[in-house]
Amino acid sequence: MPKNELNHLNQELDKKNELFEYIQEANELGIWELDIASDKITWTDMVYKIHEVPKDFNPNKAKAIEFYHPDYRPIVLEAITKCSVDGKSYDLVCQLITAKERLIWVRATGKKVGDKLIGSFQDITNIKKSEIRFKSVIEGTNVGTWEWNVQTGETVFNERWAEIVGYTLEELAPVSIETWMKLAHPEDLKESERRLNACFEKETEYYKFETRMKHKDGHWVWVYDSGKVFEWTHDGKPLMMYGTHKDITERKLREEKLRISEEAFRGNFENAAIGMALMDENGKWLKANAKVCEMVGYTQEELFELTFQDMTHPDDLDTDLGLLKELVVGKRDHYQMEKRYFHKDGHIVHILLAVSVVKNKQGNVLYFISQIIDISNEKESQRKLQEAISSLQAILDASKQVSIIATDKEGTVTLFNSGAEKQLGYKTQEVIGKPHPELIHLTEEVERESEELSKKYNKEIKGFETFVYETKIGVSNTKEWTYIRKDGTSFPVLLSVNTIKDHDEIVGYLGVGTDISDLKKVEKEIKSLLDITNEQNERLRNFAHIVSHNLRSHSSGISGIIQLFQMEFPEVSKHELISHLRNGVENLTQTVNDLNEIVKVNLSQSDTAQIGIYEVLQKNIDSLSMQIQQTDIEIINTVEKDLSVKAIPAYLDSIFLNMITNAIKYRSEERASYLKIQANMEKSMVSVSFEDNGQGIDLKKHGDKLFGLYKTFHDHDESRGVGLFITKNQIESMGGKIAVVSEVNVGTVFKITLPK
Amino acid sequence: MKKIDLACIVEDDPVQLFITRKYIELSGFVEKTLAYKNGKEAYTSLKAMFLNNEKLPQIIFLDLNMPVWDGWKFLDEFTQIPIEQGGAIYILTSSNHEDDIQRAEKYGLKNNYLVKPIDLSQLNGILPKLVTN
Repeated sequence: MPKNELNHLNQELDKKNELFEYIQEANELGIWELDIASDKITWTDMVYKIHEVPKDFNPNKAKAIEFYHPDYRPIVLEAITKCSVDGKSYDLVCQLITAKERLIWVRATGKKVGDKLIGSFQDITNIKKSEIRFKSVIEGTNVGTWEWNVQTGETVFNERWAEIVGYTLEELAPVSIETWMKLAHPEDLKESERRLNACFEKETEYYKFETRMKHKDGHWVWVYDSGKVFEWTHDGKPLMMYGTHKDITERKLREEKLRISEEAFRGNFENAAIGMALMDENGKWLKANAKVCEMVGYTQEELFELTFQDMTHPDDLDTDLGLLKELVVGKRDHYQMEKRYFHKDGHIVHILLAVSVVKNKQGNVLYFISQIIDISNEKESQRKLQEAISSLQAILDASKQVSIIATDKEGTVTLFNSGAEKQLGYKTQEVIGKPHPELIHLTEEVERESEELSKKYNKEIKGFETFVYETKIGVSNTKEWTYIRKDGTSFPVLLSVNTIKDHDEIVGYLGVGTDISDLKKVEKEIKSLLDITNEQNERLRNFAHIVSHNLRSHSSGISGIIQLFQMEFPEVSKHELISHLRNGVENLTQTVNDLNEIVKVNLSQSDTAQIGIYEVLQKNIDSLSMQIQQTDIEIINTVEKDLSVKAIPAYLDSIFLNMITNAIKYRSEERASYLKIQANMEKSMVSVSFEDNGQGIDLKKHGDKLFGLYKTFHDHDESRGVGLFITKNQIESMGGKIAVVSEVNVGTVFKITLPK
Repeated sequence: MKKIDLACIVEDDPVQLFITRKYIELSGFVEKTLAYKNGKEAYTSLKAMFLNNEKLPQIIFLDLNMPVWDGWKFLDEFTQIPIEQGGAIYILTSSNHEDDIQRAEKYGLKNNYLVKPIDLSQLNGILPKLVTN
């Protein structure tokens, strides 16, 4: 080797040595060398410095080992021996006691080089201290740690990591990232991956995730997983990632419970069937659920502008405020009251209010909790019920003339109104609970009715059943009975029996009895009146018989004798006395005939029938055709053919005949005579008018006597004054009327009205 | 002139009996006239005649209102007698009552209903028919 080249090499070596020493210095790295054969040791300055021995200290193997903490001496010795014998290198971290008796941490490495061991020696106390600190932090915070080589998948977990999920590291070995994947909740993996990627893409610095892991026991453990990429590959990929696992199960469970209870409360509050509200200490609405808003008609926003005082009925406010005060001062912890709110519309809302208070630790009111139930319907029902009860009571009380007695199904009296008290003379308390029929009914009467009913329904009906059987089977049951008063006297009643039902089930009976004593009396009177009338009718009948038979018989006898006399003694018959006798008998016969006709009208019991007016008129016109021709009177029948009246055929015939013959008889000789017959419907009646242009009647003079018996108004041979009397009687007996309008020498109109 | 052999009058009132008998006499159609005071008397006598096979009256004038048996009762009983060729019965009454006329119809005597007093023309309308028969 040329000299300058050697120089150059020497220079280079020096440079290298300088650098090496500098490095040793900078890293506080010492170098040691052991001659295996002689146990002689050579130290660099730094080694001396670490051992805190002076430069003149002469170390050897034994001395060097002596410096180590007794716990480490066997380890160090074994490592050196193994290295010397087998050439196995070592790297130890041990505690060492310096010459100045300081306990320090050192890192010692050794390597066999030929017949020597060469190694480094380094004071790592500071590093170790921070490591211990770090460890104790980790242990103190009870977190599991993990290291992950993102590229290879290699992972390292600490014991705590395994412990969180109930394992030891040994049980989990061999660990890899797969170990985590298996234990993680499948639902969380995706999100975990997303967040990791965010770190890998450097979008976020830290990976943070609350995730679930499967515990060895099978339950899920909540873990707060956090970490950070510490090393990157040269091409920017994540390499090493470190992180921790913190068991947050307890917190999570607490949170969940809280959430559930909060949700439950909120659900309760919002959807409660009753109104719920929070108010501050001044009564201002803080919170109100939908039900409250519905009750009072305000929206939540409107409500929050108000206090409950604004809405409370003034009459209820003092009570409410009084109770609230007691709540505030701690006299009570809740109160309940019925009160009234004003609805937004102005109407009153009845509510049931329950208020409790929530205070803070200092005892100040935080808010009032109100539970509000709308009881308007109940109040209204209550009011209606009260009204119904009142009016029912009023009816019961007012019915002084009517006895109202209610019984149960067996006939025991359950109600006895004031009318019953008055009529029967018992006091309510005397009869309530007593068997009803025995008390106030006639035994014979009940037995008689019982027999009749038993026969009618073909089964035995007796006792109380006698009163209610028909009611029970739905037959209307109103009958006359005799009630017996407390004092033994009796009176007739009309008793209606009805059922009292509760949801379609008969629970009792209600008997409403009307005192019909007066009615009975009147009935009796009417009956006796009827008897009198019947008697009188009978007498009239007898009279009619006398008229129709006896009188006629005698008058006909007389006239027969006179006729015979005239035949036997024609010359004597011409005597004036005889002709008077003959006239007298003729008049008598006629009178008897008339009377007979009149009596017939009143006694006849012929049935009415629907009769066509036109036909009857025409029949009479035909039968009178001879007279009509002779007298040259024009009869104008304009009656419609389908008009009919309800009448007794013989009467109608007689009436029409009378009308037509009257018109003929009393026609005027001074002019061409006519009779106009018309008919009109008038509601339920038909009127038939007979209008003539005859002599007329002076109604001023005769009006009130026109239809009287034996009243004649014409100086006429044939007028006897019976026809109109009978006609009127006949018309009236059929429910009709007759009216007349007349003027002397102009004509007469008779208007007859008969039922349709 | 052929005559009716036997006529019969049932009548309680002597005046009426006299009149009827006189007119029958005056008509000159009748040989002999029997008279009874009431229905019962007439029935008893006529029945006895029937049983004795004597000739019965060809015409009977029957009053309605009579004591003991009235005209109706007589009709009820007399029509029970099984007479082969009975004479005509005429009701002769002072009653022109509708009820009586209707009742007469039930015995088929509506057209044989005469109201007193009877006169000669009425008799002359009835008797000749019986003679020719």
